[in-house]
Amino acid sequence: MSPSPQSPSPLRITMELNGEARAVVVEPRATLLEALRDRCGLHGAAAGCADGSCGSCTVLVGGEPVRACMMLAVQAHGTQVRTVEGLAAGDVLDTLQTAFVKAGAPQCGYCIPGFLMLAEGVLQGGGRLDDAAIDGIVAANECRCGAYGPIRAAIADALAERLGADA
Amino acid sequence: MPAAPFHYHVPASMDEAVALLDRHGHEARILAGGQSLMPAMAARLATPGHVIDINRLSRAERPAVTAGRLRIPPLLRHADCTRLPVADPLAGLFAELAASVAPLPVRLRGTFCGAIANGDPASEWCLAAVVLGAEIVLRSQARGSRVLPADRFFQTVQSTAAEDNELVAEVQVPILPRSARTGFHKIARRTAGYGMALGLAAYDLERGAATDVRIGVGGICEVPRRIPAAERVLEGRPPGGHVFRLAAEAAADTVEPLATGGEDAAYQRDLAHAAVRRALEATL
Amino acid sequence: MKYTGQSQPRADATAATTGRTRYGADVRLDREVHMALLRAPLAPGRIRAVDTAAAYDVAGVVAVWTAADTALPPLPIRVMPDETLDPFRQPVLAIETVRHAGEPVAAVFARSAAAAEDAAERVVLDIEETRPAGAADDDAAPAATIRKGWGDLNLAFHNADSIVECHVGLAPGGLLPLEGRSAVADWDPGRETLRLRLAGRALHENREIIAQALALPSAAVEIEAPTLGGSFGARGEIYPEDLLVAEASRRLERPVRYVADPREHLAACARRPGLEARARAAVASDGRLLALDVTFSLDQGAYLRPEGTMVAELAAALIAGPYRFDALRITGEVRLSNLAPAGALRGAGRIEATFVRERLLDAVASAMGCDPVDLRRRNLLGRHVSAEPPLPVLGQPVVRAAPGADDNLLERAMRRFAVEGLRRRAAERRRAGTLTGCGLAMFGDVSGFGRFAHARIEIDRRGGLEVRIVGAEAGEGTPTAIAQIVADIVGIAPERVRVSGGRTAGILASGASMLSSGTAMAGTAAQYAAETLRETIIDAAADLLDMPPERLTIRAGIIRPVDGHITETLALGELAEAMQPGSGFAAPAGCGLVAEGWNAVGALSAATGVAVATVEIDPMTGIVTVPRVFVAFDAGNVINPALVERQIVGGALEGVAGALFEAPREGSGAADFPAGAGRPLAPDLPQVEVLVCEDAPTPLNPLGLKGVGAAGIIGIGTAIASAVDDALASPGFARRLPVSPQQVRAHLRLRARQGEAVEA
Repeated sequence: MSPSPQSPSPLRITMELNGEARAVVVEPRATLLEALRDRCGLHGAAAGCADGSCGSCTVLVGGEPVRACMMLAVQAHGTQVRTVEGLAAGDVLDTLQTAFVKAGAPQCGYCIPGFLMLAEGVLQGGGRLDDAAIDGIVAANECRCGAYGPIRAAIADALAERLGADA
Repeated sequence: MPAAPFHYHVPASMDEAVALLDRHGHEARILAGGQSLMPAMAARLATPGHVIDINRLSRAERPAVTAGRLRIPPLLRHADCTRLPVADPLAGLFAELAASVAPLPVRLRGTFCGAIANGDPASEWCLAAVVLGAEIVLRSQARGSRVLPADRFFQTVQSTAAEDNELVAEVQVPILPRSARTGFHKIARRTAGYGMALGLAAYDLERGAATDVRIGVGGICEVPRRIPAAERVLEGRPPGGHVFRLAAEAAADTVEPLATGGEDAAYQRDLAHAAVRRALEATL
Repeated sequence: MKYTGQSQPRADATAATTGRTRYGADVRLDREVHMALLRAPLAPGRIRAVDTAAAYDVAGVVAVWTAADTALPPLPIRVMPDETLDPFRQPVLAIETVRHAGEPVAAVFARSAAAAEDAAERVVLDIEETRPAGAADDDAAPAATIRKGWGDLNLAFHNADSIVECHVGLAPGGLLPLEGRSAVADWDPGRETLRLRLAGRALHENREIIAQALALPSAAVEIEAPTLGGSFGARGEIYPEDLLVAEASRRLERPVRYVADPREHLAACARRPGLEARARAAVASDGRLLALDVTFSLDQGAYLRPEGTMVAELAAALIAGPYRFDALRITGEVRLSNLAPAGALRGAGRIEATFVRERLLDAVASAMGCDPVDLRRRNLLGRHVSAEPPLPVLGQPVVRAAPGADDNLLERAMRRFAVEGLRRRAAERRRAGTLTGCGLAMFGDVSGFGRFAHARIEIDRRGGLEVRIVGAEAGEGTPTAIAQIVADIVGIAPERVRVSGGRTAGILASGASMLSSGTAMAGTAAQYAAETLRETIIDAAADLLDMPPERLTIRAGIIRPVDGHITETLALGELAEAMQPGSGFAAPAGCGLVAEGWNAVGALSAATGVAVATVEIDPMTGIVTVPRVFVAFDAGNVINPALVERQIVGGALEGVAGALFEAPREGSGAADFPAGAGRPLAPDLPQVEVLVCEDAPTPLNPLGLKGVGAAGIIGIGTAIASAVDDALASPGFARRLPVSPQQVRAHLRLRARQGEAVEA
C-alpha cells in the first residue's frame, strides 16, 4: 500500500434524512451505510455481505432502493434518504411494517429492514404489481433464516392493502 | 472494512473528469455506478488514491440515436436500458439483458459503460457489445477521443485496451434492423446471479434464411467472443432446431475455454453448447 | 385459556420491522478502541517475521500485538475435553506457524475502525509457505479416533447373504449468520469487572473460559449477548477475538470493540467439517440388515475448536439411526487440515450420520432390487425391543419415546406427502425424457443437551411477569414459546410475560444452547418455576383472602374462587405489592412473588424424521434444481406450531443450499469467490411442506418437548442425493454433496457416448 501524501480531509454533507435536514461530516471513503450507522445513529440498515448480494443495507436514495454499502456517503449529498426508521409515523406502523408483523416475517430480523426498504422502494410508485414483480422484489435480497414465504406474503398483503386504500 | 483512504473528486464536466484522470493516472479510478468498484475497495482489492465521481454529470445519463447507432453515455444505468429510444428488436433485447444483470437495487445504480470498462467475461453488456459489433469511445486528455471495436477493446479477463488515463466516454451500438431476430440465454446458479455461461444470437432473415448471423458466448473465454464457426453453420440456412444444434456443437468445438484441459474444459464446452443452443432457440 | 399449542405471534416482531433491534455492532461506547486483525494470507506456513513498526505511523493507533504480546492461552476444548487433544487447540494469535488462511497473526487497536484497518495493512508479515494451500496432511495421524459398536460383527458379515459397500463424502461448508461476529469488552478498573457483549451463545461457559484465561474470579466477568442476527450453530463457542478484546480492554483500560468484516466472517467463522466415509452393510436374503460397519473421517480444519470431537461423536453415535442391527462397528477419525477450523453447526453429526447410512441403504435397495422405502420399513426398530439401547451421545444416554412411533411417522409422511405419487410421476416424466427424480431419507436427531437450565420468575407490582433464562435470541422465538408455557400455568395472558435471556448476571450457570435445547431445557426450567410460583400465589392469596387454597384459581392475572362466585378477587400485582419485603405480610413461602426452577437432565431425547425431495436435472448443464421438499418430524409436543414450522422450513432451505451450492473455495480466503454465488435466494429455493407429529413426546420433560432446530436440515441433503440418483436412474451416483453440475454432465456425456440418448 502506498502512503498517501496527505490524508484526505473530511467532507461536510447535507441530506434530507427521513424527512429532516441533516448535516454530517464524513471521510470521503465512508459508505452511506457507515454514515447512517456511525454518524446518524440509525442502525436499521445493517452490514451483511459488503458485495451487494445480501441487501440488508438497502435504503432509499431519491426514492430508489440502493445498497448503502455500495454508495459513498458523499454521494448522498443533497439527496433524500429514507431508512426503515422513517417508515412508521411515530408508533403507527406503515402498511408494509404491519404486514411484516402480521405475517410473522422477522425471524432473526437482521434482513428485515433491507427487505422493507426494498419493497417500499418498489411499492411507493403505486400501481399494480403482478406475481412476477413481487417475486422479483423477494429475489433481490437474502434472508438466511429462510423466511421468504412470509416475507413474500407480507409484501403481497401490503400491496393489496395499499391498492384497496387507494380505490 | 472501510476502503483505503482516497481523495474524492467531483468534476463539473467530462473535460474536467478526463483532466483529473490524466493528472492521477493509475492512481485514479472513475466512480460511475460503483457496483463493482465499491465492493472491490471495501475488500481493499482496489486501493485508488483518487476517486473521480462522475455521477453529478447529469448529461452523461441520456442515450441518443444518431446515424443508425444507439449512443450509450457513461452514466446510463442498467435499469434504464429497459427504456431506450430505439425500437425492437434492440429495445427488447436490451430490456431482457438488463433484467438479467443483477438484483434490482444494483441495476438501478450500476452502469452500462461501467460494465464495459470492467470487461468481465461474464458481463451481459460486454457480450452484447462484442456480438452486436459495438464501438467503444475512449477519451483522454492526451489523445482526445479514439474509437475501438468491442472485440479489440476486451483483451483478457477484466482487462481492456483502455489506458490508465482513458475513460469510456460512450458506447455505440448499431441498431438492429426491424426484421432481425435475437435470443439470449444465461446459465447461472442463482437468478440474476453471476453467469457461468451466456449465449447471445442475432440474425436477419432473408427469404426464410438467416443472414448476418452473430453468435457469441460469455463467461467461457477470457473475454466474450463471437464464434465464427457457429455463425457459418447458420448463415444462409433457415433457422430451426436441427441447425441450431449443429451451430451449438460448432461453438462447443471451437470455443477456447478459460479452463485448460480435463473435465473443467469439457464442462465449459458443454455450457457453451447449452448457452448457444438456448440463445438460438430463443430467437424463434 | 390454553396458550400452549397456539401459534402466538412473536413479541419482538415490531422492533425488527422498525429497525430498533440491537445487534452486536449497534452499541457504541465512549472512548472505545477498535480491533482489527491481520490474518494470514496463505497457509500453512512458517512465520519468519512480523514487523509491526509501520503500523504505529497511522494516527489513532493505540497498540499492536502479536503472539509475543499476549499471555492468553489457546482456546480450551470445552465439549468432552481430553488432554490428548491439547496439541490441536487454537492459539488466539498464531505462534511460529500459520495453519489456515485467515488465521489471526496480529491485532491492531486504534481509535477508529478505519485507522485499525489502515494500520493492520502496514504490519509486514513474512511467511514461508510450507505446503500448498488447502492440502490436508493425509499422512499425519488423526487427532482422535472414536470407536463405537456392539454385537459380533464378524459373525454377522459371515452370515450375510450379501455385503453392500459405499464410499461417500460431504464437502466442508455451511451457512453463516448474515450478521458477522462481534465482541465488545469493557473493563471497569474501579470495580475490577469485565463486561462483555459477545454476539454468541454458551454465555456461562465462555465466562468461565475468559475468567480463567485472564485469572479473574468468575464474578468479575459479566457477559451479555445482544440479539443475534442468526446463529445456525456458528456462534456456539468462544473465538480468539473474544479473548483478545477481553484482555485488551483490561490492559488498555478502554472499551475494545471487534466487528468482523464480512470477508473475515466468511474466512474464519466456524464451518462444517468435511466428511469421507466408507460403509458396509451385511444383509440377509430377506432384506434384513444384519450389521453395519462404518469408517469415517472428519476434516476439522486447522485446529480443534472448543467443540472438540463433538461432531465426530454425534456422527458415530447416530449412524445406526432408527434401524435395527445385530452388530455395529463405527470408527471415526478426527483429522486436521489447512482449512479454517470447523465447528458444530446446525444438524452437526446428524447430517453426516444420515448421509452415510441412508446412502448405504439406497445402495442396499439397489443391490437387492427392492423398493428403498420397503427396505426401510423392514428394518425400522418398530415395536421390537431393540437388542441394544441407542448409543450414548457425548457421554449421555439417549432416550427413545413411544415404541413404534418411527413406523407411524414414516407411514404418515408417505400419505401426507403422497410420496408414492411423487415417485410415480417422476418415473413417468423420466420415461418421457426429462431427468426428474424423487428421494427419501429417514433421519435421527437428538436434542435437549444442556445438562441443566435455570429460570427465575418474578411478578412486579403491576402484575407483570419477568422470566429470566440464559439463552440469547437468534430468531427461533424461544422467549415467545416460554411465555406461552408460563402464561398457561400462572393464569395470565402471554403478553404480560416478559422473557429475557442472553445475560450471565442474575442467572445461574445453564448449559449451552446446544442441539436445539432452547425450549426443551429453559422452557422446562421456566415451567417448574411457574408451577412453584403458582403454588406461592395461591397459598399467599388463600391467607390474604382467608379462603382455602383449593378453592382458588388464577385467570387473566386475577386470583379468584374456582366456583366463579365473584366474592373477593385479588390481582397478581396487588398480591406482589402485599408481599414486598417489609410489608408486614408474611407469606407462607417467603417474601416477594419470586420463584426459581431448575431443570437437570442427564439424558437426551431421540427423535426421528423423514425428508423427501424431488429434483429436476437440466441435461445440458447438469444443474440440479429442487422444486419441492418435505419434512416430517416427531417433535414431541409443540408449544408454538408456527415457530416450529419456521425452524423446520429454515433448516430445510439451508439443507437445499448445502446440497446444491458450492462452499466458498478455501485457501487464499474467499476473495476469489464470485459474489453471492454460494447462496441461493428465494427463486432458487423450493416450497417446503412440513408435517409435525406429536405422537412421541419425550419422557425427559413433563411437557414432552424436543428440539426442532436441526430437524429441517438433517435429512434434506440425503434426500436430494437419493433423488438425483433416481433422476439419472443411476444408483450410487450422488456419493458426494454438494452435487456438482460438472460431474452430472460428465456422467451424462459418458452415458451418451455409451449410446444411450439422454437429450431430446
